[in-house]
Amino acid sequence: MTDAAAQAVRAAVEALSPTWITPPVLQPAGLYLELAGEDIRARAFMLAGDEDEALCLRPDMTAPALRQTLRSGDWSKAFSVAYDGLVFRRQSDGQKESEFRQVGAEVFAPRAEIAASEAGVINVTLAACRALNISPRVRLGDVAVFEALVEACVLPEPWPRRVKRAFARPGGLATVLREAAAPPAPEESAMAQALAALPEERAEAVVEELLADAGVAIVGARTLGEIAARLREKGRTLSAPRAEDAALQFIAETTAIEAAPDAAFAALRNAAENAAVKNAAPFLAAIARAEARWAATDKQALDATFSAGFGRGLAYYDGFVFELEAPQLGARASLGGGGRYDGLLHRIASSQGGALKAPEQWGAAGFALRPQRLAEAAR
Amino acid sequence: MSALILAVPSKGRLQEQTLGFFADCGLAISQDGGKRGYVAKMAGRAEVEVRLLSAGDISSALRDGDVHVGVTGEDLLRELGAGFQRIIMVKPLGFGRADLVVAAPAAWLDVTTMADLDEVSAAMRARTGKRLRVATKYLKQAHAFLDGRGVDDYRIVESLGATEGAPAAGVADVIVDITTTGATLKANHLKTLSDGLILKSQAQLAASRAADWSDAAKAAFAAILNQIEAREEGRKLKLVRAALGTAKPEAVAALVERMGGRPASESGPDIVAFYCPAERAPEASAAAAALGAGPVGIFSSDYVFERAGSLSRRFADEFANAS
Repeated sequence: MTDAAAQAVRAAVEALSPTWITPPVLQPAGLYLELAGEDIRARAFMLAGDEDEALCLRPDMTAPALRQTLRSGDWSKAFSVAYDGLVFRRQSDGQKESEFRQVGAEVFAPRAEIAASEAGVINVTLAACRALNISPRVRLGDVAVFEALVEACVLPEPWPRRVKRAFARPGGLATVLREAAAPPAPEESAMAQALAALPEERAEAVVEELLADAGVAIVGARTLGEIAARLREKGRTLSAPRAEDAALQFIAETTAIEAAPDAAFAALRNAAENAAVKNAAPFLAAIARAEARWAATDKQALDATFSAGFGRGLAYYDGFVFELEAPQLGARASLGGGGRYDGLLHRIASSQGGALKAPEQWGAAGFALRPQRLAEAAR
Repeated sequence: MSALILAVPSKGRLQEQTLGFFADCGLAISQDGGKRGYVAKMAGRAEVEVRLLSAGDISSALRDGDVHVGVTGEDLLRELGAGFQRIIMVKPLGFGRADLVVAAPAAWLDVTTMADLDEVSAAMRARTGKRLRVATKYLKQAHAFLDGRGVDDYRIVESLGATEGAPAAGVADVIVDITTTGATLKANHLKTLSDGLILKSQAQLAASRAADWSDAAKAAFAAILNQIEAREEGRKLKLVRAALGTAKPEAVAALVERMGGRPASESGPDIVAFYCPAERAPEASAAAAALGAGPVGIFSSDYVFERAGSLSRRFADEFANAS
């Protein structure tokens, strides 16, 4: 059954005319630690070794596929790669498989061209489902729409950064709303405000003197300049107008909208009229791009929703994201998903010490499906 | 064959305090092979085998059920992660106190809270692509705490000793480690964050659910717990004794009740005697004298035993619940 499902996905992937690749099962653990953080220690099978050379069984296919492609890809024109292999994840829940197959593909193209391929990526997964007679529930999102929404509100620093950062977290925007309401610590704020009033070099000198008087040496990776700069920024934030609660609330509410795509886009356009939106044009443009993608999606009787808030915890993605769910297999049972991840491409390229190079203006998008789940859903 | 295996720290201040604690409870531990031996005996308790292990080994021995009970730091027990489920912390011992904290460079004047650390780590990663390096030997607790505070742009650098020196040595930016006075942190140009306290740790008398608990082992441990508790009660209570004199027995009984005391065995037709919380004993004695009793004396007791000590009962309950 799993083989038949995998075969159906492989057949659908051929629409992208990919090169099939087989990345190594063993991958550098350090790469994943940098990309996904300490959580990976609990989720991946780590193999002993010196920190720098420690290996792990690949917990996904995207990063290994990117590494291989960065090494051997032909970056003269748009291309795609596909894979079919096992990934390994530690499961705390004994019910779940800790070793399972993924079939997927990655599309690489100059940024100007890649938007046109995005719907194609979704369509491949939908074609695979149709071939297997599965009608998945499709959840669509777009990190770029969310970011444009935050930018549109033109909040004082550091709120845009905090809000964007909160997006990827379980606590979400509620934490930021709480922080915005909390008053700052008084002692620290006095120093920060005093420094903010000084010219930059003078502020740095004051901090240097303060530390010298206290006999404190600078340890850790931050420089005196960085410390002084952030203190000044804190001071400025204190004297600057606080982020309006109304704007933060508006962002939280708009992010919570989840509806059938056409209705969701209408609601977002409507939100652009809100008083909190100071700069609507880029936000509307981001919505338009999401709409264009949806227009190109092969949506025969498709059960789909769109939300600007979808994509939480999917740290890889920085543009559109999608997930196929099979409700008959349980709440949020995923058949697979994918999205756009230009940032990941360049992060992996730079993490390899310059040995691997992705052309600056290129983007990447891809997906992975789980044949075993597809086979279960097809039953 | 000894019924009960008790592990105590094999070196340092924690060993001194642990041996001191047991000796004070009348459970003196003597090392067999002189100072170098790693097996010891407990005075008057042939059924108990005492093993001297490092504090870290004691916590893993408890997890694995290699020993029934042991004395070690709560920080080390909690570091067992899922294995902590197999531990019953029977009694906090009041010594070996230390705080497990997040400490950042003192020079980071802009960083006073975990929220600051989160922001700084995000900025660091955005700028350099590198994560904030956290040196610790408390991998599990550090991870759980940082995740719980929403800090995720960090990377753990496992440290096997002298964690506090890691930032100065250039191999980490912040640390998660234990501190007692903060002096070592200060000497290494570090400071704790205002909301960076992970655990207030102290030495614990802990039992292993994983050990093979024969009835004899349970009885041996219950006897030790009862003696520890009796010693503690003895310290907390004073015996107040007086000739009844002209005082009315009911009035004295009411006084005992009001003072949170308990009648003692020595009460008789002409004598009143009761145990009273030490700090209220003078007040209770004066009140008894005022009622007509006297002379009233206050006596110290080394031990006050109860038929079923609450510690051993609690331990038995814990065990019954688990199995």
